[in-house]
Amino acid sequence: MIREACIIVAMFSIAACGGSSEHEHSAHDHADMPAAAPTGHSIFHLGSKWMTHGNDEVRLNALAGKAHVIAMVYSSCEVACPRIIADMHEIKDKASIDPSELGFVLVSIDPDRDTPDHLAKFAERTGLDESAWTLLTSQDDNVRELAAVLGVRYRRVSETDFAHSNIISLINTDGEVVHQQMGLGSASDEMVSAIHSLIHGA
Amino acid sequence: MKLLSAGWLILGTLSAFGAGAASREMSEIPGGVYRPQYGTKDEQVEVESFVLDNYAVTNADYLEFVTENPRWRKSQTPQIFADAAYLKHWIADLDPGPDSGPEGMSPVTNVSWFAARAYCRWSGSRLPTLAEWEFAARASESKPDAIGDVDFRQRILDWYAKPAKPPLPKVTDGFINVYGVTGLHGLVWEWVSDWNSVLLTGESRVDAGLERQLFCAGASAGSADPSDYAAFLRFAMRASLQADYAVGNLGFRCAKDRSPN
Repeated sequence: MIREACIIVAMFSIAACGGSSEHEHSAHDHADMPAAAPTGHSIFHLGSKWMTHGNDEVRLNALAGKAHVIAMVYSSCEVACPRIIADMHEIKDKASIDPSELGFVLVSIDPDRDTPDHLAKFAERTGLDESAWTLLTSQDDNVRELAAVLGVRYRRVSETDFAHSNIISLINTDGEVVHQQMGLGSASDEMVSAIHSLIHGA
Repeated sequence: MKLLSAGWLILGTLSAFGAGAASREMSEIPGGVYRPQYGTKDEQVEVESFVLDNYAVTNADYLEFVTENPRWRKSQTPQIFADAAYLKHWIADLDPGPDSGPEGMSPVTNVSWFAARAYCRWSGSRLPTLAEWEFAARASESKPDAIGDVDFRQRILDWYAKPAKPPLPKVTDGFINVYGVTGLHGLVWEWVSDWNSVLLTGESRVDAGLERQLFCAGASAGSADPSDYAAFLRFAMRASLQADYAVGNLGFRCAKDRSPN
Protein backbone atom coordinates (compact mmCIF):
# COMPACT_ATOMS: atom_id res chain seq x y z
CA MET A 1 0.00 0.00 0.00
CA ILE A 2 2.83 2.34 0.83
CA ARG A 3 4.49 1.65 -2.47
CA GLU A 4 1.27 2.18 -4.36
CA ALA A 5 0.72 5.55 -2.76
CA CYS A 6 4.24 6.59 -3.59
CA ILE A 7 3.73 5.74 -7.22
CA ILE A 8 0.63 7.88 -7.30
CA VAL A 9 2.55 10.74 -5.75
CA ALA A 10 5.23 10.30 -8.37
CA MET A 11 2.52 10.52 -11.03
CA PHE A 12 1.23 13.71 -9.55
CA SER A 13 4.71 15.13 -9.43
CA ILE A 14 5.06 14.47 -13.12
CA ALA A 15 1.68 16.02 -13.74
CA ALA A 16 2.89 18.97 -11.70
CA CYS A 17 5.97 19.39 -13.84
CA GLY A 18 3.85 19.05 -16.95
CA GLY A 19 1.56 21.69 -15.56
CA SER A 20 4.24 24.24 -14.99
CA SER A 21 5.89 23.78 -18.34
CA GLU A 22 2.49 24.14 -19.92
CA HIS A 23 2.18 27.36 -18.04
CA GLU A 24 5.45 28.65 -19.43
CA HIS A 25 4.22 27.59 -22.81
CA SER A 26 1.09 29.59 -22.58
CA ALA A 27 3.11 32.60 -21.43
CA HIS A 28 5.08 32.13 -24.64
CA ASP A 29 1.97 31.97 -26.72
CA HIS A 30 0.89 35.27 -25.28
CA ALA A 31 4.21 36.79 -26.23
CA ASP A 32 3.48 35.88 -29.81
CA MET A 33 0.10 37.54 -29.78
CA PRO A 34 -0.19 41.08 -31.04
CA ALA A 35 -0.96 43.54 -28.27
CA ALA A 36 -4.29 44.57 -29.75
CA ALA A 37 -7.58 45.24 -27.93
CA PRO A 38 -7.86 43.88 -24.37
CA THR A 39 -8.31 40.13 -24.50
CA GLY A 40 -9.71 37.45 -22.28
CA HIS A 41 -6.29 37.04 -20.72
CA SER A 42 -6.07 40.52 -19.26
CA ILE A 43 -5.52 40.87 -15.51
CA PHE A 44 -7.72 43.96 -15.77
CA HIS A 45 -10.68 41.60 -15.50
CA LEU A 46 -9.92 41.47 -11.78
CA GLY A 47 -12.14 44.07 -10.19
CA SER A 48 -10.22 44.32 -6.92
CA LYS A 49 -9.34 47.64 -5.31
CA TRP A 50 -5.81 48.44 -4.19
CA MET A 51 -4.05 51.20 -2.27
CA THR A 52 -0.80 52.60 -3.62
CA HIS A 53 2.08 53.71 -1.40
CA GLY A 54 0.98 57.20 -2.34
CA ASN A 55 -2.35 56.44 -0.63
CA ASP A 56 -4.40 56.41 -3.83
CA GLU A 57 -7.17 53.89 -4.32
CA VAL A 58 -6.79 52.18 -7.71
CA ARG A 59 -7.95 49.18 -9.68
CA LEU A 60 -5.50 47.12 -11.65
CA ASN A 61 -6.59 48.76 -14.88
CA ALA A 62 -4.77 51.83 -13.58
CA LEU A 63 -1.79 49.97 -15.05
CA ALA A 64 -3.32 50.08 -18.55
CA GLY A 65 -1.56 51.90 -21.34
CA LYS A 66 1.94 51.14 -20.10
CA ALA A 67 3.95 47.94 -19.73
CA HIS A 68 4.85 46.84 -16.20
CA VAL A 69 7.22 44.49 -14.45
CA ILE A 70 5.47 43.02 -11.39
CA ALA A 71 6.58 40.97 -8.41
CA MET A 72 4.90 39.98 -5.15
CA VAL A 73 6.90 40.61 -1.99
CA TYR A 74 6.50 41.82 1.59
CA SER A 75 8.35 44.68 3.11
CA SER A 76 9.60 42.97 6.25
CA CYS A 77 11.15 40.22 4.15
CA GLU A 78 14.85 39.95 4.84
CA VAL A 79 16.10 37.31 2.44
CA ALA A 80 14.31 36.71 -0.84
CA CYS A 81 12.55 40.03 -1.38
CA PRO A 82 15.57 42.34 -1.45
CA ARG A 83 16.96 39.92 -4.02
CA ILE A 84 13.81 40.02 -6.14
CA ILE A 85 13.94 43.79 -6.03
CA ALA A 86 17.64 43.65 -6.93
CA ASP A 87 16.69 41.45 -9.89
CA MET A 88 14.10 44.03 -10.90
CA HIS A 89 16.68 46.81 -10.64
CA GLU A 90 18.94 44.78 -12.88
CA ILE A 91 16.13 44.37 -15.42
CA LYS A 92 15.39 48.07 -15.20
CA ASP A 93 19.02 49.05 -15.76
CA LYS A 94 19.59 46.62 -18.61
CA ALA A 95 16.32 47.41 -20.35
CA SER A 96 16.88 51.13 -19.95
CA ILE A 97 13.34 52.14 -20.86
CA ASP A 98 11.83 55.46 -19.91
CA PRO A 99 9.49 55.22 -16.89
CA SER A 100 6.71 56.66 -19.06
CA GLU A 101 6.76 53.40 -21.04
CA LEU A 102 7.73 50.82 -18.44
CA GLY A 103 6.68 50.79 -14.80
CA PHE A 104 7.73 48.55 -11.91
CA VAL A 105 5.19 47.25 -9.42
CA LEU A 106 5.63 45.55 -6.06
CA VAL A 107 2.53 43.91 -4.64
CA SER A 108 2.48 43.09 -0.95
CA ILE A 109 1.50 39.60 0.19
CA ASP A 110 1.40 40.90 3.77
CA PRO A 111 -1.45 43.41 3.76
CA ASP A 112 -1.82 43.26 7.54
CA ARG A 113 1.49 44.98 8.02
CA ASP A 114 2.07 46.61 4.66
CA THR A 115 -0.18 49.64 4.94
CA PRO A 116 0.27 52.37 2.31
CA ASP A 117 2.25 54.32 4.87
CA HIS A 118 4.48 51.36 5.63
CA LEU A 119 5.09 50.83 1.92
CA ALA A 120 5.88 54.52 1.41
CA LYS A 121 8.56 54.27 4.10
CA PHE A 122 9.86 51.10 2.54
CA ALA A 123 10.09 52.80 -0.88
CA GLU A 124 11.96 55.68 0.63
CA ARG A 125 14.30 53.49 2.67
CA THR A 126 15.21 51.35 -0.33
CA GLY A 127 15.45 54.24 -2.76
CA LEU A 128 12.64 53.28 -5.14
CA ASP A 129 12.19 56.12 -7.57
CA GLU A 130 8.64 57.45 -7.50
CA SER A 131 8.39 57.90 -11.28
CA ALA A 132 9.10 54.22 -12.00
CA TRP A 133 7.87 52.27 -8.98
CA THR A 134 4.38 51.60 -7.64
CA LEU A 135 3.76 49.64 -4.45
CA LEU A 136 0.33 48.11 -3.94
CA THR A 137 -1.53 46.63 -1.00
CA SER A 138 -5.09 45.31 -0.63
CA GLN A 139 -7.07 42.70 1.30
CA ASP A 140 -5.94 39.10 1.65
CA ASP A 141 -8.55 37.81 -0.73
CA ASN A 142 -7.55 40.22 -3.50
CA VAL A 143 -3.88 39.43 -3.00
CA ARG A 144 -4.62 35.71 -3.19
CA GLU A 145 -6.52 36.28 -6.45
CA LEU A 146 -3.78 38.32 -8.10
CA ALA A 147 -1.25 35.72 -6.97
CA ALA A 148 -3.39 33.05 -8.62
CA VAL A 149 -3.36 34.98 -11.88
CA LEU A 150 0.39 35.52 -11.78
CA GLY A 151 1.10 31.93 -10.71
CA VAL A 152 2.62 33.06 -7.41
CA ARG A 153 2.21 30.73 -4.43
CA TYR A 154 2.67 31.90 -0.88
CA ARG A 155 1.96 30.89 2.67
CA ARG A 156 2.56 32.56 5.99
CA VAL A 157 5.08 30.41 7.82
CA SER A 158 5.54 32.46 10.98
CA GLU A 159 4.44 35.67 12.61
CA THR A 160 6.83 37.62 10.40
CA ASP A 161 7.65 35.44 7.43
CA PHE A 162 6.15 33.98 4.28
CA ALA A 163 7.23 31.22 1.98
CA HIS A 164 6.60 32.44 -1.54
CA SER A 165 7.57 31.79 -5.11
CA ASN A 166 9.91 34.22 -6.73
CA ILE A 167 8.33 35.15 -10.03
CA ILE A 168 8.77 38.39 -11.90
CA SER A 169 6.09 38.97 -14.53
CA LEU A 170 6.02 41.31 -17.49
CA ILE A 171 2.56 42.57 -18.43
CA ASN A 172 1.79 44.48 -21.57
CA THR A 173 -0.32 47.59 -21.93
CA ASP A 174 -3.48 45.43 -22.08
CA GLY A 175 -2.70 43.67 -18.82
CA GLU A 176 -1.65 40.35 -20.33
CA VAL A 177 1.24 38.44 -18.85
CA VAL A 178 3.72 38.14 -21.71
CA HIS A 179 6.82 36.87 -19.96
CA GLN A 180 7.82 35.48 -16.57
CA GLN A 181 11.19 35.13 -14.91
CA MET A 182 11.24 32.34 -12.34
CA GLY A 183 13.65 31.99 -9.46
CA LEU A 184 16.01 34.36 -7.75
CA GLY A 185 19.08 35.61 -9.53
CA SER A 186 17.98 34.12 -12.84
CA ALA A 187 19.57 35.48 -15.97
CA SER A 188 17.57 38.53 -16.94
CA ASP A 189 18.46 38.48 -20.64
CA GLU A 190 15.21 36.85 -21.72
CA MET A 191 13.17 39.28 -19.67
CA VAL A 192 15.08 42.22 -21.08
CA SER A 193 14.59 41.06 -24.65
CA ALA A 194 10.90 40.43 -23.94
CA ILE A 195 10.66 44.03 -22.74
CA HIS A 196 12.45 45.32 -25.81
CA SER A 197 10.29 43.39 -28.21
CA LEU A 198 7.20 44.54 -26.36
CA ILE A 199 8.12 48.19 -26.40
CA HIS A 200 10.10 48.56 -29.60
CA GLY A 201 8.44 45.71 -31.52
CA ALA A 202 10.39 42.60 -32.55
CA MET B 1 -23.32 3.02 13.06
CA LYS B 2 -25.90 4.01 10.45
CA LEU B 3 -28.31 5.20 13.11
CA LEU B 4 -25.62 7.11 14.87
CA SER B 5 -24.54 8.96 11.77
CA ALA B 6 -28.14 9.70 10.86
CA GLY B 7 -28.59 11.17 14.31
CA TRP B 8 -25.54 13.29 13.84
CA LEU B 9 -26.88 14.47 10.53
CA ILE B 10 -30.01 15.82 12.15
CA LEU B 11 -28.12 17.35 15.05
CA GLY B 12 -25.41 18.77 12.90
CA THR B 13 -27.47 20.07 10.04
CA LEU B 14 -28.41 23.70 10.08
CA SER B 15 -31.17 25.10 7.96
CA ALA B 16 -30.68 25.61 4.24
CA PHE B 17 -28.43 28.49 3.23
CA GLY B 18 -27.73 30.23 0.00
CA ALA B 19 -29.46 32.64 -2.29
CA GLY B 20 -30.18 30.40 -5.21
CA ALA B 21 -29.32 26.94 -4.05
CA ALA B 22 -32.29 26.04 -1.93
CA SER B 23 -31.24 22.42 -1.76
CA ARG B 24 -27.99 23.27 -0.03
CA GLU B 25 -27.64 22.27 3.56
CA MET B 26 -24.69 23.08 5.75
CA SER B 27 -23.25 21.64 8.93
CA GLU B 28 -21.30 23.24 11.68
CA ILE B 29 -17.75 22.01 12.11
CA PRO B 30 -16.62 22.76 15.67
CA GLY B 31 -13.11 24.18 15.58
CA GLY B 32 -10.00 22.46 16.77
CA VAL B 33 -6.33 21.92 16.18
CA TYR B 34 -4.61 19.53 13.81
CA ARG B 35 -1.16 18.81 12.53
CA PRO B 36 -0.93 19.57 8.82
CA GLN B 37 0.65 17.28 6.31
CA TYR B 38 3.39 19.74 5.46
CA GLY B 39 5.80 21.36 7.85
CA THR B 40 7.44 20.23 11.02
CA LYS B 41 6.13 17.96 13.72
CA ASP B 42 5.55 20.91 16.00
CA GLU B 43 3.49 22.85 13.52
CA GLN B 44 -0.16 22.98 14.52
CA VAL B 45 -2.98 24.56 12.64
CA GLU B 46 -5.86 25.99 14.58
CA VAL B 47 -9.20 25.98 12.84
CA GLU B 48 -12.04 28.11 14.16
CA SER B 49 -15.56 26.78 14.12
CA PHE B 50 -17.11 27.18 10.70
CA VAL B 51 -20.00 25.98 8.58
CA LEU B 52 -19.54 23.72 5.56
CA ASP B 53 -21.82 22.55 2.74
CA ASN B 54 -23.07 19.02 3.36
CA TYR B 55 -22.63 18.23 -0.31
CA ALA B 56 -20.44 19.28 -3.17
CA VAL B 57 -22.07 21.85 -5.47
CA THR B 58 -24.02 20.01 -8.18
CA ASN B 59 -24.40 20.68 -11.88
CA ALA B 60 -28.01 21.65 -11.13
CA ASP B 61 -26.86 24.18 -8.52
CA TYR B 62 -24.31 25.53 -10.95
CA LEU B 63 -26.93 25.89 -13.67
CA GLU B 64 -28.82 28.32 -11.43
CA PHE B 65 -25.65 30.30 -10.97
CA VAL B 66 -24.82 30.64 -14.66
CA THR B 67 -28.46 31.35 -15.46
CA GLU B 68 -28.34 34.36 -13.16
CA ASN B 69 -24.77 35.30 -14.05
CA PRO B 70 -24.27 35.25 -17.83
CA ARG B 71 -20.63 36.20 -17.39
CA TRP B 72 -19.94 32.70 -16.01
CA ARG B 73 -21.56 30.83 -18.91
CA LYS B 74 -19.04 28.75 -20.78
CA SER B 75 -19.19 30.87 -23.90
CA GLN B 76 -18.84 34.13 -21.95
CA THR B 77 -16.18 33.60 -19.30
CA PRO B 78 -12.90 35.44 -19.97
CA GLN B 79 -10.04 32.98 -20.54
CA ILE B 80 -8.08 34.39 -17.66
CA PHE B 81 -10.74 32.98 -15.32
CA ALA B 82 -11.12 29.52 -16.85
CA ASP B 83 -9.25 27.51 -19.45
CA ALA B 84 -10.77 25.87 -22.51
CA ALA B 85 -11.96 22.85 -20.50
CA TYR B 86 -14.38 24.98 -18.47
CA LEU B 87 -17.72 23.09 -18.25
CA LYS B 88 -16.65 20.97 -21.18
CA HIS B 89 -19.06 18.19 -20.14
CA TRP B 90 -22.00 20.56 -20.63
CA ILE B 91 -23.74 20.51 -23.99
CA ALA B 92 -24.42 24.24 -24.09
CA ASP B 93 -24.33 27.36 -21.90
CA LEU B 94 -27.53 26.42 -20.11
CA ASP B 95 -27.65 22.71 -20.81
CA PRO B 96 -25.64 20.51 -18.46
CA GLY B 97 -26.50 17.39 -20.50
CA PRO B 98 -26.34 13.71 -19.56
CA ASP B 99 -22.87 13.82 -18.00
CA SER B 100 -24.24 15.99 -15.22
CA GLY B 101 -25.92 12.97 -13.68
CA PRO B 102 -29.56 12.25 -12.85
CA GLU B 103 -31.29 15.63 -12.39
CA GLY B 104 -27.88 17.25 -12.57
CA MET B 105 -27.06 15.82 -9.15
CA SER B 106 -23.46 14.89 -9.93
CA PRO B 107 -20.89 17.29 -8.51
CA VAL B 108 -20.09 20.06 -10.96
CA THR B 109 -16.52 19.66 -12.21
CA ASN B 110 -14.47 21.26 -14.98
CA VAL B 111 -14.72 24.49 -13.01
CA SER B 112 -11.77 26.74 -12.32
CA TRP B 113 -10.91 28.21 -8.93
CA PHE B 114 -12.20 31.60 -10.09
CA ALA B 115 -15.52 30.06 -11.07
CA ALA B 116 -15.84 28.12 -7.81
CA ARG B 117 -15.06 31.25 -5.85
CA ALA B 118 -17.59 33.31 -7.80
CA TYR B 119 -20.27 30.68 -7.19
CA CYS B 120 -19.68 30.70 -3.44
CA ARG B 121 -19.78 34.49 -3.32
CA TRP B 122 -23.02 34.52 -5.27
CA SER B 123 -24.54 32.08 -2.79
CA GLY B 124 -23.50 34.23 0.16
CA SER B 125 -20.59 32.08 1.22
CA ARG B 126 -16.93 31.45 0.38
CA LEU B 127 -14.64 28.58 -0.43
CA PRO B 128 -13.32 26.73 2.63
CA THR B 129 -9.68 27.32 3.46
CA LEU B 130 -7.24 24.50 2.96
CA ALA B 131 -6.98 24.12 6.74
CA GLU B 132 -10.75 24.00 7.17
CA TRP B 133 -11.19 21.44 4.43
CA GLU B 134 -8.44 19.18 5.69
CA PHE B 135 -9.75 19.47 9.24
CA ALA B 136 -13.28 18.44 8.22
CA ALA B 137 -11.91 15.64 6.03
CA ARG B 138 -10.33 13.90 9.03
CA ALA B 139 -13.77 12.84 10.20
CA SER B 140 -15.26 9.38 9.69
CA GLU B 141 -18.87 8.37 10.32
CA SER B 142 -18.21 8.18 14.02
CA LYS B 143 -15.15 10.26 14.91
CA PRO B 144 -14.02 13.84 14.25
CA ASP B 145 -10.46 12.62 13.81
CA ALA B 146 -10.19 9.18 12.28
CA ILE B 147 -6.89 9.68 10.51
CA GLY B 148 -5.30 7.37 13.04
CA ASP B 149 -7.58 4.50 11.91
CA VAL B 150 -5.91 2.22 9.42
CA ASP B 151 -9.24 1.16 7.91
CA PHE B 152 -10.39 4.72 7.36
CA ARG B 153 -7.16 5.70 5.69
CA GLN B 154 -7.28 2.61 3.50
CA ARG B 155 -10.83 3.34 2.36
CA ILE B 156 -9.76 6.79 1.21
CA LEU B 157 -6.73 5.45 -0.61
CA ASP B 158 -8.83 2.80 -2.31
CA TRP B 159 -10.97 5.57 -3.73
CA TYR B 160 -7.93 7.49 -4.95
CA ALA B 161 -6.92 4.40 -6.90
CA LYS B 162 -10.25 4.31 -8.77
CA PRO B 163 -10.61 6.34 -11.97
CA ALA B 164 -13.52 8.77 -12.11
CA LYS B 165 -15.67 8.47 -15.23
CA PRO B 166 -18.65 10.64 -16.14
CA PRO B 167 -21.36 10.80 -15.14
CA LEU B 168 -20.02 11.00 -11.62
CA PRO B 169 -22.08 9.62 -8.73
CA LYS B 170 -24.67 11.85 -7.08
CA VAL B 171 -23.32 14.17 -4.40
CA THR B 172 -25.51 12.41 -1.85
CA ASP B 173 -23.72 9.10 -2.42
CA GLY B 174 -21.01 8.18 0.00
CA PHE B 175 -20.69 8.17 3.75
CA ILE B 176 -21.96 10.95 5.99
CA ASN B 177 -19.26 12.02 8.38
CA VAL B 178 -19.76 12.74 12.05
CA TYR B 179 -20.49 16.40 11.32
CA GLY B 180 -23.15 15.61 8.71
CA VAL B 181 -20.95 16.25 5.67
CA THR B 182 -20.91 13.85 2.71
CA GLY B 183 -18.47 13.26 -0.11
CA LEU B 184 -15.25 14.84 1.16
CA HIS B 185 -13.73 11.52 0.16
CA GLY B 186 -14.84 9.25 -2.61
CA LEU B 187 -16.38 11.70 -5.05
CA VAL B 188 -14.13 14.40 -6.52
CA TRP B 189 -11.17 16.53 -5.47
CA GLU B 190 -12.29 19.93 -4.22
CA TRP B 191 -11.01 23.48 -4.59
CA VAL B 192 -10.07 25.42 -1.47
CA SER B 193 -9.59 29.17 -1.20
CA ASP B 194 -5.83 29.09 -0.62
CA TRP B 195 -4.77 26.07 -2.69
CA ASN B 196 -1.90 28.21 -3.95
CA SER B 197 -0.37 28.30 -0.49
CA VAL B 198 1.15 24.92 -1.33
CA LEU B 199 4.59 25.57 -2.77
CA LEU B 200 5.97 23.16 -5.26
CA THR B 201 9.48 21.88 -4.69
CA GLY B 202 11.87 23.36 -7.18
CA GLU B 203 9.53 26.12 -8.23
CA SER B 204 12.14 28.54 -7.08
CA ARG B 205 15.53 28.13 -5.52
CA VAL B 206 14.64 29.73 -2.26
CA ASP B 207 11.48 27.73 -1.77
CA ALA B 208 13.01 24.46 -2.74
CA GLY B 209 13.97 23.49 0.77
CA LEU B 210 10.74 24.52 2.37
CA GLU B 211 8.49 21.90 0.91
CA ARG B 212 10.94 19.12 0.48
CA GLN B 213 8.95 17.14 3.02
CA LEU B 214 6.00 17.25 0.70
CA PHE B 215 7.27 14.99 -2.00
CA CYS B 216 8.39 11.41 -2.20
CA ALA B 217 12.06 10.90 -2.98
CA GLY B 218 12.63 9.46 0.45
CA ALA B 219 11.26 12.54 2.08
CA SER B 220 7.99 11.10 3.27
CA ALA B 221 9.59 10.18 6.57
CA GLY B 222 10.10 13.87 7.17
CA SER B 223 6.50 14.84 6.70
CA ALA B 224 4.49 15.58 9.80
CA ASP B 225 2.25 12.55 9.49
CA PRO B 226 3.76 10.01 7.12
CA SER B 227 0.87 7.61 7.59
CA ASP B 228 -1.63 9.96 6.01
CA TYR B 229 -0.82 9.36 2.36
CA ALA B 230 -4.20 10.60 1.21
CA ALA B 231 -3.47 14.07 2.58
CA PHE B 232 -0.08 13.81 0.95
CA LEU B 233 -1.74 13.13 -2.40
CA ARG B 234 -4.07 16.07 -2.01
CA PHE B 235 -1.15 18.38 -1.35
CA ALA B 236 0.67 17.05 -4.40
CA MET B 237 -2.47 17.55 -6.48
CA ARG B 238 -2.92 21.14 -5.25
CA ALA B 239 0.70 21.88 -6.03
CA SER B 240 0.04 20.98 -9.66
CA LEU B 241 -2.93 23.31 -10.11
CA GLN B 242 -3.27 26.71 -11.67
CA ALA B 243 -6.27 28.93 -10.91
CA ASP B 244 -7.73 28.71 -14.42
CA TYR B 245 -7.54 24.92 -14.64
CA ALA B 246 -10.84 23.18 -15.20
CA VAL B 247 -10.45 19.50 -14.48
CA GLY B 248 -12.93 16.65 -14.82
CA ASN B 249 -12.53 15.30 -11.29
CA LEU B 250 -12.18 18.60 -9.45
CA GLY B 251 -15.26 20.27 -7.97
CA PHE B 252 -15.97 22.29 -4.85
CA ARG B 253 -18.28 23.07 -1.98
CA CYS B 254 -18.71 26.31 -0.04
CA ALA B 255 -18.23 27.34 3.58
CA LYS B 256 -19.06 30.21 5.90
CA ASP B 257 -17.83 31.66 9.11
CA ARG B 258 -20.02 30.55 11.97
CA SER B 259 -22.63 33.22 12.58
CA PRO B 260 -22.02 34.86 15.95
CA ASN B 261 -25.35 33.99 17.56
